[in-house]
Order: sequence, then structure tokens, then C-alpha cells
Amino acid sequence: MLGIASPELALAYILCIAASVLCIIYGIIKWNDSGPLTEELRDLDQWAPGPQDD
Amino acid sequence: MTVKIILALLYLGVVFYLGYKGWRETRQASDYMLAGRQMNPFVMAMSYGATFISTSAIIGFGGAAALFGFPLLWLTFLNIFVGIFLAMVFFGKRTRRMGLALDAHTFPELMGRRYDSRFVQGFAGLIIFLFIPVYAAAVLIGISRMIEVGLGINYYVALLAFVGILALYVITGGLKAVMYTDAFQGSLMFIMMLILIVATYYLLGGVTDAHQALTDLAPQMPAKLKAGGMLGWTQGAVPFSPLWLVIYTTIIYGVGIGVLAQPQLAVRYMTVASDRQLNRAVLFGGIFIIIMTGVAFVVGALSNVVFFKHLGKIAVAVAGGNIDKIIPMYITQVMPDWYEILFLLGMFAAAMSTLSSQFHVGGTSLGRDFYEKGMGSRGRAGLGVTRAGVGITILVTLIWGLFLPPSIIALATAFFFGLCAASFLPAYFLGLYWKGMTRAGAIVSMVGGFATSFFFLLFVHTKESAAIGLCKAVFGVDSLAAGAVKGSGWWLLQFTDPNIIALPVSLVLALVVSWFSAKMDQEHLRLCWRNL
Repeated sequence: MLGIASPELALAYILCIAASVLCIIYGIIKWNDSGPLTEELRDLDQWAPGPQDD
Repeated sequence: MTVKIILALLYLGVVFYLGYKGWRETRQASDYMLAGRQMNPFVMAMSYGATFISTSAIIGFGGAAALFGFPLLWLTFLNIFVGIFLAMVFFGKRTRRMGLALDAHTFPELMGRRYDSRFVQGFAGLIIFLFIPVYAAAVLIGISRMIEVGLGINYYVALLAFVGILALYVITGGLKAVMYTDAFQGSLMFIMMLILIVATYYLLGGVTDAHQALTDLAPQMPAKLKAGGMLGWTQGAVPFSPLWLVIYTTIIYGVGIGVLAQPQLAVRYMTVASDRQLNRAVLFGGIFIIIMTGVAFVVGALSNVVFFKHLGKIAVAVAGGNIDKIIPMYITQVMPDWYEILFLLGMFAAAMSTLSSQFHVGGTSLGRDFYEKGMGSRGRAGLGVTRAGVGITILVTLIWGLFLPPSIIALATAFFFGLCAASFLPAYFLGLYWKGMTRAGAIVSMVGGFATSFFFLLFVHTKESAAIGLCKAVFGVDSLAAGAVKGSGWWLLQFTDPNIIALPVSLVLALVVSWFSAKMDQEHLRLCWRNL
């Protein structure tokens, strides 16, 4: 497949691209997700660029 | 040549401006060590990526890919899935939150405060300070080889000059200077590698044609590599043959898993103000890493086809046997002049961004973790000892750089990554997720993992044990496994990375000792878990 003799190594080639796509999709879905915030975290969270800065 | 020098000076001008900007904004210890915990997500992601990917990855491992071929793509997969996705999502967020609750400034300090132990912090700091120069030397050799081939400057002169330039902004500027310069350097590296993969595939008639040409080149695989188990560049190696073990246990497993416990990367999780910045860093990192290591390994392997077409020889023969020279020679002999300049600057960037972080973490490990906290010298140290620590790290790196043998970059890098995994990973991971993990469990796991790794390094794993010579001096053989029945499990251990044994040992010790030892104080655990 793809000119690569070993099916295992062709899989590695495809998985590299798949892992990169996973990172992109995760980053887009979670773009504005700060997770659960305690008071301490909320204070610090204000320093992070928010949706208005994107 | 004049154009090369002018562009190199222009590049250095931008780096020094960004270093100066970081220095101007560094007013207190948290600025110097954590960039004030308010770093922009793009800067954080590019800094993480540019620190992760160095001349070691591109020149050293690219050269290894020229030798071994596509099996190294498993390392690219691990670099992205483990080094970015798992690292940021499952380690990064909890590290940031726990680090904030415990007011930790460094990776060893996070470990020390999680286990309420000065020994843990001091021991971790000492290991990092002692061994990160070996990894830094691998990166330094990479850029010095590139300067030697690209600019015709003597290798040793290149080594000394490069270290001198770096020392200027790392010692003074702290992590802000390091991260600002990283982001600029990472962007330059990205453009450079993108051009390289497009040009190489174009040169060979497209993706499938290029791979097919490499597949057809299998009969040219050197006899020595075939004897070690190699079948071809896209065919891989015979499972459990000596070279299969080198590729999969040292290069892929050692580096692919070791990234999770890299102190210079873990500290970056603590530089951002919000989880959402880590989420965004996953996106930037996922794109950045595939364009870095994915391209380096594919181009490294395909360089065999290009060299064979043009010169009638495969890559390792063109480089005279030194795989650290393959990528530099591919760039200078195959790519156009304008690209050679861009690549040289990109390699400057890759080396500087990684070395600056290694020097920074070496300094904080000695100054803050070992001297100030581990030795209990609080109040008399401050940034002075940390800056001195940076200076000593640079000096030791230079010494390693002068004396390490050829074709060493990938192995020296894998050594440090593996050692960090065996020493820190179980205590780090379980410390983030398991309240039952105890101080005794962490100490025994760290010391046990380190000792096991070192025992195998000195007495079993031939690559190091033969070079060090202690096994020969004590037992009269290069490796304790050398005399075993050929092909047996014990015989194969001499080709197996020490951390295949040491990491599971470290994990079992952490679990068993924690199960039977005194639990951590509930009030302390409440503090650790305050933000989780």
C-alpha cells in the first residue's frame, strides 16, 4: 500500500496522519474549554486569551 | 557565502532581540523559571514543539531513518499521539493544576512537593543536572555537523562558537527569553521542513512512486545490516533480530515513551494560565510534530533513492559511514542553494531552541532543586546559583560534545529519554492520578528505576557497556549477556534497551511499596488535589 512493502509500516504511515488529525479535531472541539475552575484557577484563567481575542 | 553569512547574522539579530525582550520582562523567580505562568498558547505550543524537536530529531534520527528506513515512522506516531495528545491532555492539565496548588517552579519541585520530600526533589534535580548534558551534546553535535558541511567551518570551531552565542541569552534571559525565541525558531523550522517534503516527493515523482522506488532499492541494503536482521527500507526488520531490537526498543520505545517524563517539556505545562491554552497547544503541536519528525524520517529514508539515482550509492555510503552527516549532505548536494541557507538557519533554530531549554533546566535542577531545596540552602542561593548551574551545564555539554564518537546523536538522545522514563515516569504519573502513591513508593521507584537502568547500561547493553569498559574490567566480557546461547532471550538482552527492563521494574516498585508503606497525610493530599 502506498508503495510501502510492509503492511505494518504502511499502517505506521497512515497512523501518523491520523494522530495529527486527532490533535487538530481535539484542539478545535476544546478550543474554549477551560475545564472545572476553582477560585484560584478562575483568577489565573482571566489572564489567558479568551474567545474575544481569537 | 556572503549571502549565507548576512542571513545568519539577520537571524541572530532577531533571536537576540527576542532574548532581550524576555530579559526585560524577567523580574522575579517565577518569570525566570515559569515565564510568569501567563504564556500565550501559540508561543507555548511552538516552544514545546521546538524544544521537543531539535537537530537531534532532524539530523540524528533523520540519519537513522536513512539507515533503517520506515520503521522509524512508529516513532513519529508516538511523538504525536504520546508526545502531544496524551502528554498535553492527560499529563499537562493535571501537572499545571497540581503545580499551581503546590507553587512548583520546576519538574523536580513538583515531584518533591507532591511527595513532601526534599530527597525526591534533590535526587530528580541531580539526575537531570548530571545527564541532560549528554542529550544536549547530541543536539550540539547535530548543528556543528551542519555548520561543518554547510559553511565549511571547522567542526570544533562551530561547536565552541555556537555554545558561546547560546550562553549569552539563556544565562541572562530565563524561560521567557527561551520561549519567545523558541516560537520564532519553531515557525522557521516549520516552513523549512514543509518545503523539504514537497521537494523530495516532487523529485521522486509523487508519494507512491517515491515509496515504490525505495521498496525496489532493498537489494542495495548493506550486507552488515542484512546480517543484523534488516530486510529493506520499507520492508522493516526480522522481528526480534538484533537490529529490530535496536530500532524498536531503543529508538522507538525509549524516545516515544520517554517524552512523557522530560523535565524541560513538563515545565512548559506550568507556564500557561488555562487548560484551554493546553487544548489549543494540542492542535498546534499535532501539526508541528508531523511536519518535523514525519518529514525528517521520510526524507531520511528517501535520501537513499535520490543518492542512488544521482551518485550510484546509498545514503550511508555517501556519508562515509557517519549517519549524522546524511541529512546535511542531502541538503547541500540535492537541494537548491537558496534552500540550503534556509535549512541551515532552520537547524540553527532547532538546535538553539532545544539547547536553550536544556541549559535552562540543567541550571534550575542544580540551583533550585538540588542546592537550594535538596541540600536545604534556602535563602543563600536565589537566581545566582541557578545561573551558575546554567553555566556549568553548558561547560559539561561542551566537553561531551568534544569527546562523543561519530553516529552518536540518536543514541545519546535515546539514552536521556529512557533514563528519565525509568527514573521519573511511574512516580510522576501515579503522583498525578493516585492518592495512594506514597513518599516511600516514589523514592524506591525513582532510585530503583535509575539503578536498574544504569546496571543494564554498564553490564548488559553492549552498545554502552563495551564503550564504558567497566564490565570488561570486572567480568572480562563486554556484556554479561554475550556468553549466552545465541538467539536466546538472555543473549538478546545485549541488544535490548535497558529501559525495557527498568521502566516496568520502576512501576512495580512504585505500586508494591506504596501499597505497603505509610500513606501520605490527608491534609497534604487535599492541598495537592485542590485544583483537580
